[in-house]
Amino acid sequence: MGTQWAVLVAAFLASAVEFVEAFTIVLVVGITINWRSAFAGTAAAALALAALVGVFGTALVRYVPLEALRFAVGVLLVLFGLKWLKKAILRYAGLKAMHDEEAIYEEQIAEMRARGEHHQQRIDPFGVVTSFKSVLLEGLEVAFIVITFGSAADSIGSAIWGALAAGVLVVLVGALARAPLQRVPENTLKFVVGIMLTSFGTFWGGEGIGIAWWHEDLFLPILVVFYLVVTGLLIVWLRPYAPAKPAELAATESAAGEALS
Amino acid sequence: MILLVATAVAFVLGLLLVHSLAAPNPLVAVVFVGCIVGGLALTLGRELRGRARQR
Repeated sequence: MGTQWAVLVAAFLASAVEFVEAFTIVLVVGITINWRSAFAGTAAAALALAALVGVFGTALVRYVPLEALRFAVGVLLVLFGLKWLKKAILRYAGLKAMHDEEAIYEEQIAEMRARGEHHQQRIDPFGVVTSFKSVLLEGLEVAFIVITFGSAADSIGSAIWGALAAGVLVVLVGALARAPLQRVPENTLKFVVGIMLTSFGTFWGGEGIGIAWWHEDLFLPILVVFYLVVTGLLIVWLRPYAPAKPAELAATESAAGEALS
Repeated sequence: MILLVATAVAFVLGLLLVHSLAAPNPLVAVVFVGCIVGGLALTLGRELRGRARQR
C-alpha cells in the first residue's frame, strides 16, 4: 500500500514538471496563432502517445521478466535522476540560472512573431506541428515515468493515476490563469523529482543486481533521506564558488575602495 | 558522460560482487551507492573548473 502511494506521488510530481513545459508551448501557439491549431496538435500527440504506451507498455509488462525489468528501469531512473539532480544542485548553489518558464514563454512568442506568425482563424500547419512536437516529447517522458515506475513496482495503475492527476491539475490551473505557470516552483519540483528518481532507481536497480535491502521496501525512505543529505552537502561545497550577486559586488567594491584609500 | 560511466560502473561492479565474488550484501550496497554518489560529485566538481572561490 505504501509503495503504491509512493509511486502515485512520484509519478504525479515528475509528470507535473513535464506537463508545465508542454503547456507553455501550447499556450504560445494558442496565443500567437490560434487555439484550434494548438488543440489539434495536442490531440494528435495524445493519440500517438496512447498508441505507443498501449503497445510498448503492455509488451514490457507481459514479456520481460521482473528482475531484468527492475535492472533496466534502475539504470534508466538513476541516469535521469542524477541528470535532474545535477542541474537542481547547480541552480541551488548559484552556479546555473534558475529555470524561468516566463522567460521561455516570452522568447517563444518573440520567435513566433519574428517568423511572421500572427493570429488567424484557420488551422495553421506550423502551429499544429509545434504543439504536436512539444506535447509528444514531454508526453513521452511522462509515459517513460509511468511505465518505469509502474512496472518496477507492479503498480501501473497508481502511476497512471498520478500522471493523470498532474495533467488535469496543470491544464486546469493554466486554463484559469491563461499565463505561463511562473508561480509553480519548477526548480524545487525538479529537485524533489531528481531525489525520488535516483532513490527509486537505486532501490530497484539494486534489487535487479541482487542486493537485498535492509527491511526491503522500508529502506526506500532511508535512501531518500540519504540522498537529501548528500545533495545538501554538495550544495554547501559548491556555494562558495558561485559568482557574487550585483548587491554583493557593490559592497565588495566599496570595501576594497575604502581599504585602498 | 561522467554520470553514464559512473552508473555503468556501479551496476557492473555490483553484479560482479554479487554473482562472481559472492560478496557480503552490505559491502555490495555500499560500493553500489558509493559509485553513484561518486559520479555525481565528480561531474559537479568538473563544473568548478576555472572558477575561483568567491567567499
